[in-house]
Amino acid sequence: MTVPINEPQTVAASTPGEAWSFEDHFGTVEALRQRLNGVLKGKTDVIEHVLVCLLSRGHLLLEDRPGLGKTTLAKALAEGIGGRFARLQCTPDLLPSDITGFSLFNQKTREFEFRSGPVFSDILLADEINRATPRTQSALLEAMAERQVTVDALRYPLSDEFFVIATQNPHDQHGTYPLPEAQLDRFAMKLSVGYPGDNHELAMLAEAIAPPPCEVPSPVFSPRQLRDLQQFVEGVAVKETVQTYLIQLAKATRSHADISLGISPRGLLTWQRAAQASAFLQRRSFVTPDDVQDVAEPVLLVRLAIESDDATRVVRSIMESVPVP
Amino acid sequence: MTLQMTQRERRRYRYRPKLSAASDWRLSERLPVVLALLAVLALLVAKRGAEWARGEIAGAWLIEVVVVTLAHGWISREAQRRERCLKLAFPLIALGMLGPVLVDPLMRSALGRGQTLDGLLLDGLGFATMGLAVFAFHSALRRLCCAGALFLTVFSCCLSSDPFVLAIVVVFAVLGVWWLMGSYWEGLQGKLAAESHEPLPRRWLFGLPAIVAAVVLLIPWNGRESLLTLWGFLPSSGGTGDFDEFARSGVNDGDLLVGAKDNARSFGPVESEIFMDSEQPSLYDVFNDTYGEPVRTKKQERAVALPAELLREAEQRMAESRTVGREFSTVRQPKAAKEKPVVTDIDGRALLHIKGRVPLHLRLELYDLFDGHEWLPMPDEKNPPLLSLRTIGEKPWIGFPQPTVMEVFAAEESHALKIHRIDTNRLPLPIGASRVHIDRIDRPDFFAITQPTIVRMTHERLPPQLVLHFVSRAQDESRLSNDFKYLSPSGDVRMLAVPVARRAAAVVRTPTSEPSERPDVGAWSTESVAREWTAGIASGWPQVRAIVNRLRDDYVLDKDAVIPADCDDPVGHFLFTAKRGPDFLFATSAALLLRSLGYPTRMVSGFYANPENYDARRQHTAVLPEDVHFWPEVYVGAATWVTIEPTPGFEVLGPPPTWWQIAWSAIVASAVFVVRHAVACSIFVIAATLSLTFRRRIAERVASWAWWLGVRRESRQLVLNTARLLERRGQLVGLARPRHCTPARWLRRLEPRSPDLVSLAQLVEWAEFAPTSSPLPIEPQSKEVCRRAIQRWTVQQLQQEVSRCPVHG
Repeated sequence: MTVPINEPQTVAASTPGEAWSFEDHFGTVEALRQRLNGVLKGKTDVIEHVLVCLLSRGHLLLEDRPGLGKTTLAKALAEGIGGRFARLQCTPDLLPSDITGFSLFNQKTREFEFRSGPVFSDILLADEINRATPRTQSALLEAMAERQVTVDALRYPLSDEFFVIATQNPHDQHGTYPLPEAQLDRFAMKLSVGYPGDNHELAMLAEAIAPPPCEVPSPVFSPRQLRDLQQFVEGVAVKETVQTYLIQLAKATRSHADISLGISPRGLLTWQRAAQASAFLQRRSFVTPDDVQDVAEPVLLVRLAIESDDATRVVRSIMESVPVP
Repeated sequence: MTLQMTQRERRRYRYRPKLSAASDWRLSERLPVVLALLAVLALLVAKRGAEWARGEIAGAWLIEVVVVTLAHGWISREAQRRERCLKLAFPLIALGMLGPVLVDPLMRSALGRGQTLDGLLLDGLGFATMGLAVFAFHSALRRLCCAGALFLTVFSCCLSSDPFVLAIVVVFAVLGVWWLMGSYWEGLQGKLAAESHEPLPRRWLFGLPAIVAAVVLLIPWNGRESLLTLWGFLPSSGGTGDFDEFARSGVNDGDLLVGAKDNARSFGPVESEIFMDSEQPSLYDVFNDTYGEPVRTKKQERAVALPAELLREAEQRMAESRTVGREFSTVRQPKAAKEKPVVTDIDGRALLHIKGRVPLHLRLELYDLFDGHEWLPMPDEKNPPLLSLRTIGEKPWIGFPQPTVMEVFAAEESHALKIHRIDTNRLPLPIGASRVHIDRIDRPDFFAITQPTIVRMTHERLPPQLVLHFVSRAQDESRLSNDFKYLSPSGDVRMLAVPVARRAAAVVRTPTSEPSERPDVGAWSTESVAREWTAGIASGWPQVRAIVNRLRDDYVLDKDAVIPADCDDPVGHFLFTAKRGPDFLFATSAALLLRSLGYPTRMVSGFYANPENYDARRQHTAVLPEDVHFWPEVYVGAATWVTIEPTPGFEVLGPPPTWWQIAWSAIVASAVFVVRHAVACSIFVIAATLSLTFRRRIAERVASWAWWLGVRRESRQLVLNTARLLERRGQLVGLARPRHCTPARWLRRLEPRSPDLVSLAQLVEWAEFAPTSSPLPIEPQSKEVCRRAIQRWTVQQLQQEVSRCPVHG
């Protein structure tokens, strides 16, 4: 098993102390949005949610069949950000140390040296995460939640921009280990890419004939700029009425007959951050209930234990049961 | 966990503890049903244990169990049905709560069985609890159901010491604790939300109490008497002065204190204070106060030339009735010479009070002979019938002879008299009275018949503050109208020959004319006048009614009218010259006219219980000194007389109205009101109809005007007003904004291609959710955008949009 790690690429970083305006931030994101739309055609909604996830400092779970562009999307995102990219192919024999890294005794120095694992990257693609054993899955818990790992009682901080994109196949369940609730709650969203439309598939096929020489695209912004962007999004205003609306929705998830586990306070915080990011992507500096509703489905589907075959309908019924402020 | 497990199986395995919790959840829904049914069983045993057999109780309870279980199971089976039926929850529970209170009056009237108020409320609470149990799938209603069941059980335990009730309470306690524990654990799992996402039935929750409150608040607007209708929702056997046989006990000290049997501290017309002596004015003082002093004519030559046997008889009667009867002259002095009593307080001036239906003609004195000036009292019964003692409801009643022809009288009804100051020993009773009751008086020899059907006490006078109950039958004129076979023109009672003989005397005394000093009525005969008035009318009651109606219609009641002192023929003067006069002239005229046609008629004096003096607060009718009255009675055969009332403004009490008659009279009264206020009613109806029909357009128009008035407001408020106005317009054409949709999104969906609406949506988002310091997104054009949106998206435009693209609706 190989664990490739992309070295960080250099981009023109913003001058320290330089105050970016809303339009500057938005322009940067717009460039990333266009690049992703060019890579994954006809999936603007998915890309919007991926950007929301990225800007809200959440982690993303892509659940779909193989070959629908999950890895392509993750790689394009890593290239756009310009950070270090790591890909982890999860299998049942994957060990926690394969993710976090391990200490190796150096004969020369007569000391233990820490060999970092793939979590020490800016974007980590954990492919088919549900094929890893629960023990290995839980190794990601600390990394995703606290952006640090602890090996041999030593704490190693991860990148501030650490972003996990995990994938899983919902249909082939043989030899898989469903993610526990604690793990699921660390993800901000669960998305399904879905098949592209006919036109987009036609365009994809046309581009595959005599493709231009593969060039490594230049990053749109640096990891530091991403951090600035994330901090800017955290400052998007949320009025108390909207927060009350969020709480009402959370209560509705906890009392719904078809939901055995409602949203947690941590999930609620994630929901608010996602709504802030959605408002930013809508070129607004404040959150509206529409933003809350727009991100509700991917935020709730990953963390609610819905005892119904039609989870989307359940989420919609929750949205319809609470009046907007 | 095997690798062959499907995802669904895996999830089930993973959530096994939660599935267990889910089954508890269903149990926690059903336990309140069991608790409610147990509480109802406890109530049944506590309330009916003494009356019903165990089998009857079990049967009644099983019916309730089946109904509640089936209804609960059927409704809670499907989620959609739950939501649909939940709208009916509040009306059904309210109906259950009020049902016993509404049905009880019908039970009382139909079966004569009623319940005490607390019993009714308990039954209502029982039905409401069962209704809540049916809707126990709703978390709030489930908790209410358990609270109601707990109250019922505790109350039942207090009501009864039946061991079975105690056993039910024990079972209830065990199940209740179980339910509480289950609810607690569900709360820990976050399943019991503090607030339900199901919408509150605001229309019922707020609308119904608002309507009730509005009605209650409007009642005082209609006057004091309407306000008094609010009094009495709490039946009482005392305290309020009212008595309800279905009341459990009185307010405060109840009957005993009110009746002054226990601890008398006040003096009043209550039954414990009978036979207390007091100096009161005489009845005949009252007559003279009302009608003036009689004129004592000095012209003895104008006396009636009575036959010798009649003269002797009259003298004898006068001698016999010296203590109880007195002649009444129809020629009276003007009252102006005598000062009227100062009217200060009706209660203080009342001679007596009546409780019961009015108007009522209370008879004190009968007259049969009329000499042209004076009515002479009827002689006492020579062989008065014996009075009987009957005990009804452990109370002694003194009965006296009934009229023979009972068909002309309606069913029995009771009244109560509270006598304050009448200086007579005669009982003021109506003609249909059959028995009287005075508390503790169980000796018939306390009473006697004086004149026919006039009952007196054997004491010198009626004791002041006497409370007298009597049972009587009101006469039913409709039965007389239909069948008047009893009335014989010749009469079949010999004693009536005397008044009939007087007719000749009256005719003989046709007044002579003195044109210069007094009005000349010319020569006339009562018979010719009566024939003229009844020409073409069948004999019998129709003729009686014709004469009575003629007097009521063509003559005017004037209590202050004075007949000239030297007038020989007051009746002729009244009939032909003045055509107005006091009531005794109406009565005298009617009596003479009817006698002239051969109908035996006699004159009665007494009191008229005027409905205008009804005191709604005390539910009594005061009889005042000016309520002395004269009226005739006509003979309908077989020792039966009926009251007739020729005086306009006075009515004879008819039989109790039926529900249909009450409804019809209400309809007629409403119709009369509408006709009298036709213009105002028409304007109101037209305005109400138009307002109702075009209520939304009117509201939209008013809102539009308000918007234009506020167009100069600051931007944020202007934007919000604009959005609200567009929402109102959308609602008018069926494009109401869903409550889970923001106004901005609703505006964008309305017409995504409209730049104005898109801009307005941005403005609305800013106005509603942007921080105060946030600048306006499109500052220069914001007011213009609002103005254009209001002008462009009118109701008509939205209507066209709906017709063009029905998917909007």
